[in-house]
Amino acid sequence: MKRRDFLKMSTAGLALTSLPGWANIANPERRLVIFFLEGGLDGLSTLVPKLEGSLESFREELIPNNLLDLSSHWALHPAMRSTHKLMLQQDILGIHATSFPYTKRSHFEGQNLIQGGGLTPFSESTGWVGRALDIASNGGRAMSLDTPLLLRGATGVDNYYPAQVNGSANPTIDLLQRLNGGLSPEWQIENEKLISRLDGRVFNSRDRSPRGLSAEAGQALARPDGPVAAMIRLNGYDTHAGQGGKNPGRLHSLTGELDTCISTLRQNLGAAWDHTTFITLTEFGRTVKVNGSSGTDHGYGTAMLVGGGAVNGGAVLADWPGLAKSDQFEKRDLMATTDSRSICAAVLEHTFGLEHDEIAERVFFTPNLPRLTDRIFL
Amino acid sequence: MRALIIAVIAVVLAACQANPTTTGGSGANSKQAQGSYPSGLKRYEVGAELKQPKMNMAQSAAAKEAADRARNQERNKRLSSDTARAALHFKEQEGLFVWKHRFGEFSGKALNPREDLNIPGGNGYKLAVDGKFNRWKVNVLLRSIDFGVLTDRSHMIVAHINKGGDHDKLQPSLKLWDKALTTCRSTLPYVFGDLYLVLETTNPLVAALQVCLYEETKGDQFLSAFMKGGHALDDFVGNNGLDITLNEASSMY
Repeated sequence: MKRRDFLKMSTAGLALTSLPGWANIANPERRLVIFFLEGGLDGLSTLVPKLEGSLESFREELIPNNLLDLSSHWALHPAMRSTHKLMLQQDILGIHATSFPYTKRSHFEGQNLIQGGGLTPFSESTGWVGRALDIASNGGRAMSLDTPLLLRGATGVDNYYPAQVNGSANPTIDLLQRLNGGLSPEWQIENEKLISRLDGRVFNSRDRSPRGLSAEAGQALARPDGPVAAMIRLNGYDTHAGQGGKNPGRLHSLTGELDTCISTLRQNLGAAWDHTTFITLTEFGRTVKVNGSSGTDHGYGTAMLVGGGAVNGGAVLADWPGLAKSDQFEKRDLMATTDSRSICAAVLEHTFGLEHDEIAERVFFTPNLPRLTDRIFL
Repeated sequence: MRALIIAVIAVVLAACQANPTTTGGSGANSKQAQGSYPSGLKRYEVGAELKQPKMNMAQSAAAKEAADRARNQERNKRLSSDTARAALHFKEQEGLFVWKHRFGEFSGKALNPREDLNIPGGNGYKLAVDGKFNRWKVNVLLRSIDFGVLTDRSHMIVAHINKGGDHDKLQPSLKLWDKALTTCRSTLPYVFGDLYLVLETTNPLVAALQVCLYEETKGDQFLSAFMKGGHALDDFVGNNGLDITLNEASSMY
């Protein structure tokens, strides 16, 4: 199987992370949601630098019609109407020309690096959210192999993926207790955990779509005793062909799906939106120039969205590098001028009440990581 | 020779100054004509003409409600003939039409646990109820349908009547109901059962149609009891944890 086929085959997923009951963090009501956009988001067609004179010369056919204006400088992809509305309402901030410090353009390496948050791919067995939660809760570790790397390291990790088997979305305590007899001691412990959680269970749906998972995540996170972090995995952003622009293509569907997920999450969070921050992550950006298949290839710099009630939104934050050939990374990609880890660190600082220096040193192993918290949050 | 080389270098340098290369994001000349992106990490605000005040969710909900109310009131003025007709049996409260009649009582019991209707894109349950509605013994299959968060809202109860068995006495009422639906030309787009009663709606057209149905059927004792006692039936359904809410026209949130 080719890697691209594998990427196409994998489906949306949701993982949630809870803090142990005895954890004592500064603002226990705060929540974090990560939309993980697998495949490499084309930031230039999502958050479009309208003033960039050379954009048309490199990719005229990829520039969507009916862009949603943000300002004289920027516009959003036309499929992102809810996101646009939330940006105008100052609840979402766009950040452009960002990337993790990874330039080799491999999906597997890139995805591992942005989840692990280490200095090189596959160097970490825990993820940056998991490490931050460990620091916040001073907790021991309970690691599940199925847990996304991003969340590994945290205590009380809950993996959720709605199954389509009849009755599987509503396991009964009786059934689970009967299962207990046939399980090995270590799995009995896990089974007991599941049984104990049934009373407070919030999952009722078997909707495996990204929208359905976003709704589940919102409802779970909104509970006062609910999980503190969620990762929602969306895939298909590897738009080598048929990306679309003047005519709607794959990116139109993908950004529309993300847009729906964001509005669904907000709707299901309700008042908890005021205490929730979401970010989008993707392993890399895409080439500036359109390829021969009306798509784009793996690149470097991309764009991120950060949203939520406490976000100082209604703007685009960027150290814009320009798109002239000489300004591009290796004369082909958008140059990344803002380290995505700085944005992640700000989100961790705000959500879990950790010190920036501690996050820089113990979560991202980069003591001199710039602090952007005041630029992102109110 | 040396003087010639110096002269050539001087010419090249002068040319470079006149047409500086783009470094650090200055972009092309065409950009200068349109505007530019300053260097350094900058905050590019959303255009002042587009920007809206930042609100928390409670403020946002209140603002939406106020906007909806204003929109409804404006529409009610525009659809004045429907609004006037609706006023016969609906009380208007800030753009929302509420069914006036509050007579009768409903007592009964659910015959089975609620059952999922499996409606794509929405939530719904059904519940069979055996009860007494004024002097009428009623066996109905009530449905609860919630289509999500939408702008143009109607709240209605839907009762699917068992037409067979011991319920033959209801047949004349149902025939009259069917005739009224034709007369009023008003099969609402969201009819899910044999009988429905709109208890609340933001839409004067829907309210006017309901009034028409009431006027056409008020000579029938059962239908009259059903409509006059609609609120009691709704309360009963509500006590069973059901909420029958129907909507039309979606919005983004």
